[in-house]
Amino acid sequence: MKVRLLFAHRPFDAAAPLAFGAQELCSDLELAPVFSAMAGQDPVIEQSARAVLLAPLTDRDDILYRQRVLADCMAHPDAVRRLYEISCRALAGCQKGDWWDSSDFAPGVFAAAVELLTGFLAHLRDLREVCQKSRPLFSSEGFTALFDEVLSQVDTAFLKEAARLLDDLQFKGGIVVGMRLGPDSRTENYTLLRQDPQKSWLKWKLAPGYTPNAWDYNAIRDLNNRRDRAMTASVQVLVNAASRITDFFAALQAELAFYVGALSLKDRLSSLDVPVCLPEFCQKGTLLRSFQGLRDVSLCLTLSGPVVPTALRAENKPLIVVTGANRGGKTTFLRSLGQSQLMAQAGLFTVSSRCTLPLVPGIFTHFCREEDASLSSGKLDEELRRMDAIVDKLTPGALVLFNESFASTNEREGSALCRQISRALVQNGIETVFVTHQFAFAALCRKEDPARSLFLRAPRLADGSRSFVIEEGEPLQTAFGADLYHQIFG
Amino acid sequence: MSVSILFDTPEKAARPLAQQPPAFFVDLALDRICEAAAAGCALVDLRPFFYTPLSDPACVRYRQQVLQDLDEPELCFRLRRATNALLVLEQRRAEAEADLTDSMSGRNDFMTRCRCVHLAGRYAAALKELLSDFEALNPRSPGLCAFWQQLSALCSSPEFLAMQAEAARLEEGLLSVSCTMLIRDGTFRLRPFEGEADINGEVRRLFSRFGEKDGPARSFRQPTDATEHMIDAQLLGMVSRWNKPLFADIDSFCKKYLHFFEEGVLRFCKEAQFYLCWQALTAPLKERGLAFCYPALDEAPGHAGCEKLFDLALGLRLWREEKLPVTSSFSLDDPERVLVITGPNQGGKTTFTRAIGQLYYLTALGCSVPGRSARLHLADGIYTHFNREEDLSTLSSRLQEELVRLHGILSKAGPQSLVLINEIFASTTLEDGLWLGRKMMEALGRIGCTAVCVTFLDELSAFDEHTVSMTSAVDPADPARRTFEIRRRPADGMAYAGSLAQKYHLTEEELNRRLCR
Repeated sequence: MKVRLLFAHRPFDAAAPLAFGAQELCSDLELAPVFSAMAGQDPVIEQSARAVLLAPLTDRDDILYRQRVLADCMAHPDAVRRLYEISCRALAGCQKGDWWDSSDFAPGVFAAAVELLTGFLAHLRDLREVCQKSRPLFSSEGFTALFDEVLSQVDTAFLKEAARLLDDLQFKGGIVVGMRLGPDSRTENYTLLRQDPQKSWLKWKLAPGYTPNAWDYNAIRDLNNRRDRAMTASVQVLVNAASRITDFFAALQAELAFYVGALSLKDRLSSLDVPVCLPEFCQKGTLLRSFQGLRDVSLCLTLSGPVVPTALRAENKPLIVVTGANRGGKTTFLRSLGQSQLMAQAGLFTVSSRCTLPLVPGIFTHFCREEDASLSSGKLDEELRRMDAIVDKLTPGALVLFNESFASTNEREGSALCRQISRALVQNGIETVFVTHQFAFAALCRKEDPARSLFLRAPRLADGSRSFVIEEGEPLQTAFGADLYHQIFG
Repeated sequence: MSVSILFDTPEKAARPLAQQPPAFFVDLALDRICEAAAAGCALVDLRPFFYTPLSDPACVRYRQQVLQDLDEPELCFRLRRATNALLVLEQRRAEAEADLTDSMSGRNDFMTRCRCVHLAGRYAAALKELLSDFEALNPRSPGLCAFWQQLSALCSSPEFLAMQAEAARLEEGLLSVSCTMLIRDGTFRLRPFEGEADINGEVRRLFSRFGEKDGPARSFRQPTDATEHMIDAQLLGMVSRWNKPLFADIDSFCKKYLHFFEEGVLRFCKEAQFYLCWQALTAPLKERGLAFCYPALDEAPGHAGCEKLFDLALGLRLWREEKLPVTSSFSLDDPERVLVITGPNQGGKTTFTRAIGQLYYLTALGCSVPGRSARLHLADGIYTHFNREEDLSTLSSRLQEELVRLHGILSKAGPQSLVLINEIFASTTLEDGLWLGRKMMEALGRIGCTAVCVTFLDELSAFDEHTVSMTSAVDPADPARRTFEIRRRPADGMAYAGSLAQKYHLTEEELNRRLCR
């Protein structure tokens, strides 16, 4: 049985290795608060959220498929949460002990597998019930296909037959083993046979038999050993059966986890009065990035106060340069850009009231790393090495977010370097957003390519305080470091 | 009369083997070599063969030829496989015989009788296979050819063929038996198998709908397939109820063929282990590029030598550490008899001496020896005088003890003997040592035995025309590093000390320069 809630044509692998740069995205865009708002204390949701958000889709239809599943979820959150809960309870059954993964004692695993399968049957019954009730209410392909498959595969005939087989596997009437003589006249090829000895009791009654003396330890152990051999020959098949059902529930759990997380995130943001909306994607071949009420989602989740929204319209502006006051909201803005792109391409809503953006083949961040404050030459070396790795992965249309990059040398050199890099990127169809305090660089961009560049500023108000509003404006030469100094040193 | 592949005549084969190792075994590290070789064979105790050197060149050549046949890896591999299988078979057969003939065994039952049939069948197959191995690989040595002849006569004898055919027929009958067992409340019951459905299929059919992927292939502790003889016997007893004629034939087979194992085959299997273990011991070293050879034998001493000799015990140890031993060469040409070895400590002198001792002893066993080529006579005795750790008591008593031992050696040794003396007279004054050393060299010259003396007394290295001087060498590029190679050249006691001094800038010149600041 397939679960296809996240992808129309393939299963989801929450444990898949993260793509290049995912770690950087996670830390540079401050995604940790997003994950924890989605997951609460649930590690499964956390893992799914991470895997989905950090692996953005690049196909419009794939995104729309997810958006429709998400819409079902938002319309019927209780049913979705109930499905998730069933999968969690089913899986809790096989996490009872280490035996399941590590025991090499076949008869023990055999009995445990029978118990586990018996438990699964109950959860499958519950699942069937919810699917039956929800089927008429849901409309997305993802959910209706799932419900149809559950209803046809887990039918009453299956439930009845499986229950009877599992009951037989308790061997209440003795164990029946087929065998033959091997090349040394000892029995081999032990196979467990399905036969109810009670039904054929007369045949067995007439068959010759042997009962070892009660004190004959070796003979009694030998009989137990033969029983164990037969069970060992069948245990892998039972493990496989249990494993398949486990896999099914695990897939169901992992895929639902993302949507349950999305529901939690939405509830949380609603309680903070932060608007969200499903994004629209601009036509292929055009470049339009337009937001109303765009907010940095992690700031919303962590700040105990309202967050200043940003409005922006950048049409055919492959280079965006943000300058302005220190701590004036430049980095926050850059993050919100990256977050909205990631969330949109994960099939999620964006944290804005209206949002149009291009579909990009890759999202990369190149942030100046504070923790690498070693010798400046070593730092530049490190930054360029990172840039080198990113360039290997770039394809036309990709989005690269720079935050105070290449500033670890003097401004003249740094600006020239930034300019060379940004010019090459833009020239090759890479969308580039640069947060910088290097005025020389911003001035160069303005001089050379004003048509394709957009300049944004974090302005200082007349009283020296910051509004945290990012607005269009010419680059200004100072970064108001003096303000900060005075504020701190009084 | 059965053929021996270890001794060329029946008289020699009849002589008893030594049960204790010779006195010099530990000094020459032969104990380690012997244990390592004998460890390769659990079924036969090979040590007595290693304790008994041969005194007769003809017999040594007889063994060398067999071993040369076995230098063909395929023959070696097949003989090892065949003889091991046959030795195990004989062990099992002897057990079964005891079970069937001893009225107290309680095991004179169908299980033991069936086992007898299987053993006889496997024995016949093993002999046939051994014969075809011989035919395919065509050994040349007189030893192997003699056995080959004996084996081929045995395999075509009518009695052997009849036994083989009957065993095969009975085994086939047994293999076709299948049954169904009910185990319940400590009782088992048995019926013929009637095609009941197995559980695996049912489980697969029901649960495969949940996914395409099986669980990870788990490894389970396999319950032992060792079974209780009594239960097996009971089970076969029940099976015999619905297979009466088959089991009657098995009874009469056992009465007729209980002693199926030929004496000559058993002897061959045991003796072959000596060669096979030796090949197994040396093969990994050969693979690393170390040479082994079969020494040319002289009737009398006069010309002796070996190229690229190494200490086999050390070679085996270094092999485990993935390293190679250093090889050295020596030669003695009439009238030379005595190698005097000098040079820095830890330079490989003792190792080299030991290697020469091993060379003579292993040759006398008929084994291949470490080295690219070798020529020597069979020593009629090997005498060693090595320092013993436990003798480090007072100086006077140590010198006394050394002289007592030396006297014993010199009074027993003859012109055909090999005498190995390692670091003697180290416990007395230089003058005394020199005087005693000269006496010793005179005595060795008088006896005319082949000898190796390791000493720090450079003067002994040019004693007379019987003396050859060899020294341990150092690396010319880095004087602090020893090469462990022993070369023929005049003793030069200070060469090593001088080079070390240079390394630490302590030569006279440098000391002057450093001190005159």
